[in-house]
Amino acid sequence: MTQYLARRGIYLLVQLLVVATVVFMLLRLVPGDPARAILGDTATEEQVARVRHQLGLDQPIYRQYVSWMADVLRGDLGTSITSGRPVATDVRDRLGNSLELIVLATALSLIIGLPLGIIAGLRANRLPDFVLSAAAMLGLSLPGFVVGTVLLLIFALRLRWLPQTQFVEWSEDPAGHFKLVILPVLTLAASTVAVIMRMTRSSMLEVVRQDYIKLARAKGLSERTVILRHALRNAINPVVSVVGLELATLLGGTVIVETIFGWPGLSSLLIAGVRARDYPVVQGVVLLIAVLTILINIAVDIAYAVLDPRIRVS
Amino acid sequence: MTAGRGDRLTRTRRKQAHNTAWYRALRSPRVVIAGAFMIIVAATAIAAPVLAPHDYGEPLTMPLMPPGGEYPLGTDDFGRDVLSRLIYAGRVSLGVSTASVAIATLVGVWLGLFAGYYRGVVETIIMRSMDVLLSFPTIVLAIAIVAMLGPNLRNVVIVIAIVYTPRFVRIVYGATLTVREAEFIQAARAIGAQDLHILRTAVLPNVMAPILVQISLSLGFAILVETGLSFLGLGAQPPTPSWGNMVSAARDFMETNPWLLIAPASMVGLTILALNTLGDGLRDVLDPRLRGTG
Repeated sequence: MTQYLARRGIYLLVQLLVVATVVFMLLRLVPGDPARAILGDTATEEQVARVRHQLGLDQPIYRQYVSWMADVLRGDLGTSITSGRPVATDVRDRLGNSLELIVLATALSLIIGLPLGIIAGLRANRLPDFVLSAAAMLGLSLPGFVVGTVLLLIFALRLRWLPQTQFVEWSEDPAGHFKLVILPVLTLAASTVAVIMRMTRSSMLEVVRQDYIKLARAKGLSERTVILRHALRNAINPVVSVVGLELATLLGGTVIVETIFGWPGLSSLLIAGVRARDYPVVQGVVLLIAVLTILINIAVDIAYAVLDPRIRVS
Repeated sequence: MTAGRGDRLTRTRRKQAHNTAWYRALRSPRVVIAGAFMIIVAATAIAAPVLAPHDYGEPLTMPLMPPGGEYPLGTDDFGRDVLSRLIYAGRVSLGVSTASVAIATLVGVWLGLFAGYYRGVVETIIMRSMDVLLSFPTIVLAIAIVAMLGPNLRNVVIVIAIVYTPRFVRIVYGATLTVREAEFIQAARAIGAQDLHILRTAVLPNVMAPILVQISLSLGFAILVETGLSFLGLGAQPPTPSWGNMVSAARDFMETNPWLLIAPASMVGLTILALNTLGDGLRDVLDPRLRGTG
């Protein structure tokens, strides 16, 4: 296990280094002069020169790279061009709001997706399975911006059950905050519920054909025990790994959801940065999201290795 | 030394396998319905200039007219014909997704073949680069690249091609690893066949099934990304319609004029649903091991 962790650790470092390099190179994709692109055609040469200096673009590329890496290692993501504040501060303020959506959406998806997946798996190719599988396909196919907009129309504008987009902190008004979080979490969870349900269904289907399930039934155990203790425990592994992958998808999904619901998280910061051509903000948020994705994947791998000893060897 | 008897035999057998696969696919009602729907959508997109009753970019009449009469789906906030915009938007979405998936398939398949066939340094460079691309959530990577290159449809095609290439590489790589050890590849190498010839004639046909499945699923995902980017204002730029920017524009008027939202939202939902259903159906027939488990 130690050897496995060491190997993963070295790989993680390399991966982080490469990702930081890719994000550094992103700015080099801007056609022409990034400083000119930020300020537009009306800016004077002096203004352009000042922004170029602020971005470090007046230095040779290798020095830009070294100082970018050194800054990133110290947790310095540069300064926002529009607000003049350190990107790291903005990112830290908003990270929690995004994680809140992701954690709640994951929990909701498991609460709904697991039981429905078990039901569909046990009633495979019968009516409940057809209905649930069709619903899952719909959940997978509807884009987040459609689900979010329609939910907003029905529950906020038509029925007026839930408020629209005035954000309040949890600490200020817990009830108000809770009402606000419902629609974004539902939107975010729509596709994850479907993914978890489909995975649970196929995994259950696979497991209930096994001999040890026949044996458990033959021993006269109650159906409930057979399903929950014997089948589900063996069927859950692929579901765990799919949940890990979904976390990364959810991180991407917050881009749409935060925009629709005016949720002050990482992704709405990213979109604001993109619209204002505030490249340091874009780079900072993209880097953080990539690092989070890598860490989630590593956590899933390790959890998997702990659960299943066969993986550690290979 | 062209088509020997053995060669012809395998070809006939392969054709037979394909025929039964298509036959099986056509017996599944959901695959037939999804396929028919996609044929209609694609035909409408191709024939958009003939079918669209009006210009998609010109304000024609009063804004926000309800559906009916000369404007079957009403008009938008600029007084433009919603039906014509819907039809042209389909052209945009299908065009972008077809072009980007075609690029991703071409690039991905060859990178995957090379990585799996040559192993060693080639394998390491290709596969580790794909890992880097996969460290970013799809939409975030897409937004980052579009933000830098500038928001327009050509860049959206490039971006979607970049983010979906790794999926093809992985699938083809895995399949190539298994195939390369097979006896008929060893035999081809022993009689001195060129690598490229082997890859094209012996390896590629054997990894075709998973590629086809991935293509149909990727087309749906690509539409998801294109409409998502357009919804955020990073894809199709006005006045060019996309189902994504139509939904986005409808948000300000959806309480009073819900059809502005319903029309593009249903089109994008149904199209992705149809492509996913086709992908699932294809996987069931082409890869019988997975049948009933997906």
